[in-house]
Amino acid sequence: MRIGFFINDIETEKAGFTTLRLAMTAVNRGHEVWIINAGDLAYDADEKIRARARSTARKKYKTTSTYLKELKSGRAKSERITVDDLDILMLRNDPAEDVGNRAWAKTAGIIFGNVALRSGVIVLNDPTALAGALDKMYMQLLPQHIRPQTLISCDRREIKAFIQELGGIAVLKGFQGSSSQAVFLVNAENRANLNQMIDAIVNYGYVIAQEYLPGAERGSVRMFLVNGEPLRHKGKVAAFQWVRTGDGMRSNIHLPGSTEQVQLTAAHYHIAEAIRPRLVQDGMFLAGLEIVDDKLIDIDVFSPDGLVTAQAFEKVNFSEAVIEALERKVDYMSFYRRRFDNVDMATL
Amino acid sequence: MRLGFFVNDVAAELTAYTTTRLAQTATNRGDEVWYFSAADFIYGADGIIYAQGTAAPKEKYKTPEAYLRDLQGKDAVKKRVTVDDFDVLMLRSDPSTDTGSRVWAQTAGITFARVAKRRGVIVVNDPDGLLKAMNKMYFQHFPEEVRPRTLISRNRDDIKAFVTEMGGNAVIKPLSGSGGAGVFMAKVDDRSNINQMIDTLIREGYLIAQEYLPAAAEGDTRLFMMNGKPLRYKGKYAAFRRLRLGDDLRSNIHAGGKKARAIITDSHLRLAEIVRPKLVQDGMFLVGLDIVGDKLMEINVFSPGGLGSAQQFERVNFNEAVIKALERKVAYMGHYHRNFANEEMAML
Repeated sequence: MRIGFFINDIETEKAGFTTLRLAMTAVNRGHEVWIINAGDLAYDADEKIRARARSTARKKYKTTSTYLKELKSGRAKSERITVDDLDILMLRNDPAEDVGNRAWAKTAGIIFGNVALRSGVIVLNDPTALAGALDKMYMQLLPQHIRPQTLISCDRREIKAFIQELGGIAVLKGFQGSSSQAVFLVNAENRANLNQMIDAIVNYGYVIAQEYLPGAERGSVRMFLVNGEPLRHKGKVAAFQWVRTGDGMRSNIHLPGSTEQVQLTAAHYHIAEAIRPRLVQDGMFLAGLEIVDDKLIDIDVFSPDGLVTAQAFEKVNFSEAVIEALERKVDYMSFYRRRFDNVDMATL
Repeated sequence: MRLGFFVNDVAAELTAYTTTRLAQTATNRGDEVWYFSAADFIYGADGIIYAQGTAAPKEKYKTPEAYLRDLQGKDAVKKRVTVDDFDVLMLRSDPSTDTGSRVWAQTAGITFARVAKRRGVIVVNDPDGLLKAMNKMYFQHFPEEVRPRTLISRNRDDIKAFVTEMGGNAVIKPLSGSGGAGVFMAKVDDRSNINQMIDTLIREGYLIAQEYLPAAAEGDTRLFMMNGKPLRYKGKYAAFRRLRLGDDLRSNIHAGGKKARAIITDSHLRLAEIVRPKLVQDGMFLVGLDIVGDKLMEINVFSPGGLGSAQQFERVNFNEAVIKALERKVAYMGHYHRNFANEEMAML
């Protein structure tokens, strides 16, 4: 198959990223793989989507570091390709990274992907759904019983009243979702700074105030869903435990901290089951859940990372399972002569 | 009916705005009218959407001036209202004016309205439709024959090649945002300037280069569409012409231009017929088409302005037609116990 990976920028890509592992796996399975930077797309006068894209020359790679080095090197092919002719376009950019004067890059994949799918390119995750998931309201469209209690407002009094209701302990964060933004834990010790914490967020828009889950002390569980179901390969499920170190509130994989193997419980599977209808309805092929206790605290539908970590603990190649799922879609699509609804195809 | 208008900022509204006339007309017809600014929404801990609303205190207003003076004055009613209980929420903000530190405000209406529409509030235009129209690529989803030839890219050479292909001049504008901001006329002869213009815009993101239509020298025609059809009331079309002032390429009202009565021709109506299916599909209740010759230059789906100008030339009160159309939707929705797909109700 011919597959394109749309990313923020090859220069900021790291060997440990899930995207590179997926791309390398696809190369090793004999596929034609192209890497596309956020700024390298074009809508041409003939109404086709094209891109200046990079591809490697060799047929096999052992490690993502060699693969990445090759991609960045002069030996890599750099060509203007027709995106409309690809079988699959994976939108793997992380919009939270594109801030300031790169804000335009957040939605580039969504915008061009929406045009490409008219030519029968399978675009994943579905770009229309991604546009609706750019802020954290997407979480609030999932069932209430699996989410922490949440208030979203710009109004200081509303926020304070809610924190009071929660017994004085709450998590405060920005609504738009930028990785550099502050996440605060409000408790008895820092209540005096509450106004400053609210102000620091409100300057950038709405504030999310959320119930603090005691289990967050320990960190969170990352669990991958493919086609709306837990990603299972050779009897193992793609998941791991992220362990919090120090006082940092964010148990975000890009931040320092350690990981360990996780024993998934019925509560984890229940969350996956409860959100399945929405993910299928929206065409979310690949999603990363972040779970604390029996609640979903975040869902990454853009560029969920950590598949390599899950592989390390479970000793199976989950990347292969993801690429196999894509190969199946390409077969389906050819049976239907590239005429099939993208949202439906996304989770088949 | 209970009608909410979502605007950028209540304090910044002007008498001449179409929104003001719509709100005044609804008030005079006995409807309960509230305004919301971008920061006024609250997603409550109970999962219900509330807002800090502003309303004018009196039941009748003779002029939009008097209405707005009261709405923005100290006697205005300010109250926390339950948005989920409203009959209609009209999204009337102009996202292109929310730049810099107010970027978060661009999607605030859409984000909260996507939740409210699931609770039976009729939201126009449909927030999921508006989400797709947040950038100018939306326009490229309309049939090719009604659009000027277009290239979208961040590559200077691609853009210059296109301008040359178009006979040496083209219109250049940013992919995000609406209105006249950042619109240039690019001439290949003007070598020193074209590079500079392109480079300036590329720094902000993707760029649209569009075939220049010679007929644009005379200005354009704004035609309002309602429920997917040209807005016609008492035998008159809601339309007017905007004449170009000197060399200024921007004929939209904010850029300053003279207005005149429009004669609606068969070719205008044919364009309206061609755009209809897509508008219906996306739930675009009230839309402003900008027409030059037999081509569409732009479709304004966010906050089309100029209904007052159309009224002035045609001498019928189009605002009344719009409010009556909303009242009809509310009656429909009542029959179906507030359980009906929003994108369809938006066009009924």
